[in-house]
Amino acid sequence: MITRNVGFSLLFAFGLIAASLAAVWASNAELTGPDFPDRVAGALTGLILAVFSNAVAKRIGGGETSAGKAAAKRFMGLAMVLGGLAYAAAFLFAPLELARWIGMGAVITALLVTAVRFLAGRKGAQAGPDGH
Amino acid sequence: MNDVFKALADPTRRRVLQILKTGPQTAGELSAAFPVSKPTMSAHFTVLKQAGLVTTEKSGKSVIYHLNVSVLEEALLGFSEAFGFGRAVADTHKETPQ
Repeated sequence: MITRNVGFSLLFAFGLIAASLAAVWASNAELTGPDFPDRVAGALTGLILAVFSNAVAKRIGGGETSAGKAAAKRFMGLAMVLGGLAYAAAFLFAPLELARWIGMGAVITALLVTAVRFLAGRKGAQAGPDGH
Repeated sequence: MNDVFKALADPTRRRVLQILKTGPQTAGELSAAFPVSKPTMSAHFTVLKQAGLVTTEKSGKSVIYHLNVSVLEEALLGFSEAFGFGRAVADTHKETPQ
């Protein structure tokens, strides 16, 4: 049985393939510049990250007993959504040779910020509510 | 998504979500924070649950509510709180959940 989530993911995958093929066709037909397929693929990759990170706090685990853990999961979702959107924006607007670096920089920054947030939360939990 | 907008349109329900950001709470604890009757709060909880913005967990006789929002839903909550959506309506129908 195909669940709603799997159905959405399959539809999303078909959309990505169709958009990429359309971008290559448009480039081959000289309707767009030669870097257009790369830009479309990069922007779509960033959007995938943003779309799937949006639901991270909702789908992963769930029912956290500690407020800190739930807040950290929400923070991770936000950081990765912003990272994905920055990746997509870099491929849409920055020069292509720079876009890869800017995009990856944004995603790596999001991952690092998330890791720091989780570690800080863990340290805080180990120290106890009064900080000892 | 329609259910989410409906749930976020009411200031009481938004306040419930803000309280749940600080951690899980029982239905009694949440109800005590509002000057409305328990059946009214129960109706608010039902709307939030239908929208998928909260999850519940049974613990003995009490029901514990957990916040369950995506990034987009949290952003919508922030926007509706900032712009005060539904505040005028809520002032005229204080006891009626939308």
